[in-house]
Amino acid sequence: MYRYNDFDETFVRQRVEEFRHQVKRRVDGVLTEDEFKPLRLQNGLYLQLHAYMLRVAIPYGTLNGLQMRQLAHIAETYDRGYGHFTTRQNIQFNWIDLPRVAEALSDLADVEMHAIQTSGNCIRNVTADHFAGAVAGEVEDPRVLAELLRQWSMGHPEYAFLPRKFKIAVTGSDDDRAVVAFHDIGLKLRRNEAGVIGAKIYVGGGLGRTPRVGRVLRDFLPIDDLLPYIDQILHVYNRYGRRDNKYKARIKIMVDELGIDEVRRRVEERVNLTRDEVKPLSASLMASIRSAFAAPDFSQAPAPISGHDFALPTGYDAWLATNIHDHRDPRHAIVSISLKDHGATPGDASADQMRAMADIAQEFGYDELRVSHEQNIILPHVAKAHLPQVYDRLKKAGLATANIGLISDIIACPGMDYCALATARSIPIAQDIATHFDSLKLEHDIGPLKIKISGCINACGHHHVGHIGILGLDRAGVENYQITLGGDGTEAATLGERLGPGFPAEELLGAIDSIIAVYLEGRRDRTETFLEYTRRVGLTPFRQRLYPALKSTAKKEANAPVLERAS
Amino acid sequence: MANSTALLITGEPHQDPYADDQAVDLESLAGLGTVEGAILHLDGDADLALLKEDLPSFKVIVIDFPNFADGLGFSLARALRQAGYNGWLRAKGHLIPDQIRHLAASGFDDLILSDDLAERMPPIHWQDVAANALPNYQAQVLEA
Repeated sequence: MYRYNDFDETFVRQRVEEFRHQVKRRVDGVLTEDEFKPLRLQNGLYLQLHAYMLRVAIPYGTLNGLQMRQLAHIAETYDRGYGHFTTRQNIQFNWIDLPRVAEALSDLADVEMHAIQTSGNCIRNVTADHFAGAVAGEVEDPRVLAELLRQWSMGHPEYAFLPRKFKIAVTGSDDDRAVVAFHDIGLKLRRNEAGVIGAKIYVGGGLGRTPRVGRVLRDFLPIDDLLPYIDQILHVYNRYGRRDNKYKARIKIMVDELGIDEVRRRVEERVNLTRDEVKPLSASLMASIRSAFAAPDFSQAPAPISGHDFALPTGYDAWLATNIHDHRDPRHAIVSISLKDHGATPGDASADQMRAMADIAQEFGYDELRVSHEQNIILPHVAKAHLPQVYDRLKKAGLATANIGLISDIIACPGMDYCALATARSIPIAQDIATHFDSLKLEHDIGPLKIKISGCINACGHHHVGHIGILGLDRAGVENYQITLGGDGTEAATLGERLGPGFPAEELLGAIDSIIAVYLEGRRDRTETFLEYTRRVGLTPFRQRLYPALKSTAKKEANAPVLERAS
Repeated sequence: MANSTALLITGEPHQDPYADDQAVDLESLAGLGTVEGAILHLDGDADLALLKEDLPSFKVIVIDFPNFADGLGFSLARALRQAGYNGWLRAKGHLIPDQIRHLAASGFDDLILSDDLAERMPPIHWQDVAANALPNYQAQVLEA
């Protein structure tokens, strides 16, 4: 893992002092609330519906046991004993007092953490594949590039007041778990014919109210040339991105309006113009970043054992089937810890659970944890021989829910329960769906299915790329939920298609139930996933079931839950 | 401009040497015989292609910041420096002390505060922030 050097340490400490000073000037009335707002946002501090929220950066989702334990301390000391892991691989604390924020930031700095640039119109926390360094077949660990970009973007003087926020994601694998095509800049590592490592550059992807798949700006650019190029993408965006309308200010709209070829022309013109002043990357820094992400020594792991001399806890096999992913080393496995216990708030973990995860990581997982954009926690390296013990420990902490990738592993934004922008609730919707299918004991039969829920058009819950996407809107003061089907955030990068008119909250569960019934009746066999089935048959069978006639009574009947408990 | 406060990018106040000079904007350039020694006033979205070979001749270029949250002027300043402008570069408009580091890094030489801004945020605030400015990550990822 990357450890701070003296420069990082100095920067983060000084940033805490800077923020303390900013708060003081706000309190003294030197800064107006308008002037203070971007300053606090660039330090991760939001004003939500009921209180301040502090969003702490977890660069590329990687943290160690000590850091996870410190998050538990923050949750207990400054919040109500829990935290919320987000789709940007960060953690949010929902009940923070403004006067104590600097103190919390100082505690974070003690473990090489911060809340810098987790909000505001600047370059945000850089995200990466949550299985980085643990899966087979990566070009390189994407965190090497992500860490370089973290350093380059921190406090960048030219890009601190952009037209709008700016998100960068990196993947090193062909299986895209970082959703790179839906970021302002997405980077996919690859090698050219000469074996040089570089990246394919996507620009102008995004979700929100104008969903766009990223457009290819460059098919390949060597790593050494990447920073000046990204610098000029930001420069062109800062010069020509729109500032007249907040909803047209993201780079995706600039790409729409100028066209990808013109964007490329402007960027490359600037790259050529500034070529002489560009210095090469620091070789010593790159070497230290690369060595920081070198794989742990896997050779000392015990060999997998076939039997156990103790009784396995119930549920172990189901957990193995869903929560384990192949590791690059045959004696290891990648373990996903679900933060989606049926009926719980997706992504929430209590301080005790954070400590349990930290302990397990330190004992069995080379002291490493990841936050996934799907709001779960990953133990990237666990010896297979230790899996029964890990399961047992997770189970005792209430963290052994066996549902990764299944219908109850839902991404949900905070929605109306916390967020000032939300037009509808999303957490209770996720809870209802998870509880419903759990009580039917159907979710393992249904198989891989990603439901993603946003409580407003800004799409923080990624509903556009859910196999089933749910968007909560406000229709004349009443919550109304639109459903999209067939979205896919992986390398296939597909936006979901809208099914038809939305449903009021009390009919939504019935509608989801009907959608699943159509799939279960129509799939070729259990190997045809929901997404494959939807791609094969399109939306017609779903529409016929959900909107049999335009009479409201018929619709109501059609949308009562029909599925029965599995025997 | 006579009633405003001029600050160097250290936050230090200084006597504005251009206080009484007349400024021109991009639109009135065409009617000007020579731009030698002129003060040019630019909005953030100014088209630099219109300046071309005239650029080095301006004594002062003033970039307007209509609102502190609009960072367009930082990029325009950098582009001017990269295009070869070596004269005096000045920021004017709504800025806050926390942006003095951004101004310095983008190539500005000084900034002009309006009276009400200077009253609410006297030079000492700007000097304070400038003295405690964050170190520069961008330089340290590159070879020295």
